[in-house]
Amino acid sequence: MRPTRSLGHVAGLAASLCIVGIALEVWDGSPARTAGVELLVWCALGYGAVAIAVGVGSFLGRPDEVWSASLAALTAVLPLLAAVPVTPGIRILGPAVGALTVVPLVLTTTRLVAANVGSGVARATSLTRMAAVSGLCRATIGASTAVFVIMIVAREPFLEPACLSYCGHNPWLVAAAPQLVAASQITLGVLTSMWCVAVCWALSAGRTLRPELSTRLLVLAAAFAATGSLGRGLEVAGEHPVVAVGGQLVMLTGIQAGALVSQLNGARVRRQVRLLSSDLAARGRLGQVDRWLRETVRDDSLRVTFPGAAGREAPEATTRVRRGGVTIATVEHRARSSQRVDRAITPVVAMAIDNDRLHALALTQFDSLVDSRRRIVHTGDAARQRLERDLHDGAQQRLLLLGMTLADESERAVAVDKVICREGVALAARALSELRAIGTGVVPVILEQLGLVEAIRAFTEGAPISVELIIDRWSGSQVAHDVERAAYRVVTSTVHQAARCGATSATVRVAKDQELTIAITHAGSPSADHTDDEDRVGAVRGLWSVSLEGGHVLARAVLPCG
Amino acid sequence: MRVIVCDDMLLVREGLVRTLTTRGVEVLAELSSAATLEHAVAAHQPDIVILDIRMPPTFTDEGLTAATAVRRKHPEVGVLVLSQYLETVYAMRLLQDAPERVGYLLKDRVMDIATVVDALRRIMDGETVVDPTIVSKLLGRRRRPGSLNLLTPREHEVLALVAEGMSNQAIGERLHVTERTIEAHTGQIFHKLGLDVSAATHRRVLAALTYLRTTG
Repeated sequence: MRPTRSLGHVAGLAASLCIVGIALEVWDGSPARTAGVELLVWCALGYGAVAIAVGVGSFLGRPDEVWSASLAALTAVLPLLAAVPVTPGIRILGPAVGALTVVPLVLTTTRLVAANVGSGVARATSLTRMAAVSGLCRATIGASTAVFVIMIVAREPFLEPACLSYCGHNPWLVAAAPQLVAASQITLGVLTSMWCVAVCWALSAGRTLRPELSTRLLVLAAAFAATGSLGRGLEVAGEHPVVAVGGQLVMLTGIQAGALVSQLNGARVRRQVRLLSSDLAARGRLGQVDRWLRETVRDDSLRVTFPGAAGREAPEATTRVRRGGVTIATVEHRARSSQRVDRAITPVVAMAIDNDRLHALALTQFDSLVDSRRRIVHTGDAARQRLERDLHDGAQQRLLLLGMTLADESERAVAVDKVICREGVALAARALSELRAIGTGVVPVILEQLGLVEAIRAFTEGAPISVELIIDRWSGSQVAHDVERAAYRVVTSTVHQAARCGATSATVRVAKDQELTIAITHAGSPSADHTDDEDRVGAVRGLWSVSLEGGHVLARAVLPCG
Repeated sequence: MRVIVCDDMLLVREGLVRTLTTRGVEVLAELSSAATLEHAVAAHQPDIVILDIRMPPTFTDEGLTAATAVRRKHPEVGVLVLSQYLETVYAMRLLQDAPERVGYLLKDRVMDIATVVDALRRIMDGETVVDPTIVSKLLGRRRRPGSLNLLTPREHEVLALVAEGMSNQAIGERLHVTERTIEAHTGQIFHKLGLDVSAATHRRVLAALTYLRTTG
């Protein structure tokens, strides 16, 4: 609830009434004091309390606390009717109604405590135990309140009222009752004031109080006001205030107990969240949130699916996980675990799920990119193979035939024609040799057939610079064709580049076990462009790097064999 | 000389058969794939089988497999493989799998029929034939200074001819010197390169080729 203008007015009016009330209270003992003025004073005080409660509650933005505080104020005002000089029947009505309002006050208070428990613990941990503790706490407060109410309304069924303060066998009486009561009232009053001042100071300093703390402080203040006023009412009615103080203590203890449980539970929640965070951070792998949720909710069938991914055929129940207004995932689970799933998905868990989703998304996109790159390379390779086949079956055969025909012809021809024919044969032979070089460049048949090492060795036979081939290791599974092609391209293109960059020799080291490593070292300048090599290697999920090692260029490709 | 020609390329096969016939080589059969080769060899008992290396079904090196099979089943029949591949490894595979009476020529040689016929004759004489282009490519290969620099120009020349599969006698005839001189040269060469001197021609071809191929 936001502080509205009308609320501000009410608060302002009430505050002024309150001030008037206090002034009149100070003016105590004056001859003008009458029962009517006294009533006005107490009403002003009561409304002041309501106004302050409303103001603080709306400032904190917590409607539950506002209700709680309002009820507390009402409880404080109603007993004051006892001060009005009317018939005894009506006089007793005030305290009785005031006492009755304690019940909704207590209920609201316990609900607040339970809400705090719910917002923290219940969402992150197993809830059944927490609910039981919260229920127990509520029952304790309820029971002690009931006893208190019975003691006040039914006029002490177990003890004579007079005996409460004067009987020698009264175990409650520790010292002279009036002094004890006065001391307790002063102590509690000072404590409550300090709490309230502390809250106001913290809020004005711009601090954010933990919700359970602010609730506790407000409720304590309200409860104190209520029971104190009740006691005041009884005092006016002629009863001994020790009953009120006793009630006050019981109520405060109950609230403190609830708060303590709430705090313990809060610590537990924080521990759970910390564990979850470190668990997620340490493993950081996909599917961890799935498992964590399964264990927390105790539902083996639980599964987290992301938008776009195929879910199960017909899950018993689903819960949507939303973040920033967008559905980021759907949790499939058993119908009976719906409530627990709902409470287990705290913002931290939602963040972890979102993280998983983004991770999965990134992986999928990466996979599809790599696949598309691989397809492009495959298509290129297939086209190259067709080209090589066409060259061989077409142009090369025809050139051969032409050469043979010319050679035949030159046998029979006369001198001049003989020369022309021989020239023709020589040209055909050169064309054939060039075509062969092109064919080998397009698709090295030897690579497809005899594998990488033979292909590299064959390449070194005709390489533009001296190339030393060293096989460091050759074990493990067979190398896939496209990986071999990538490795071969990397070797040939790097050696050619090295020759262009002024190197006179190069060393090619090949090692294969789980992965294939190709390292090419040369002394040329490192200025060559290796984009093509990088693409080739990347298409088979390999890693490509070029570095300077001791004045030599080291080009390195690490390729997965599968 | 009686031969069987096996090549899936009809035009080239026909051209080759025609040219060989004009050179007095008797072509017993023309085959378009190696599948029926064995049957034809058994039926015709040729001196030599001329095989294209690249034939159905995979169009890669079926010729080598067929050559090995023929050599194994019919040791008296020689094999000449015509190849598009300049890479030494194929020639070496042929020499390793089917030693003696084998030849490996580039297919371009069909335009120079005299070389083909000469190769056929050498194979019949029990020599091994390796295309000179392959050997010269290996010899011309860029390499770091090494033991090859220790050879004299004459020894270089002899090494090339050894790698081409020629016998000492043939080398002597080619270089117009006596067989003894060549024997001395080859002894020197193999000693300098640290290779085993072997009597069998194809073994020393393999040794020479392996040396030229692997020494960077």
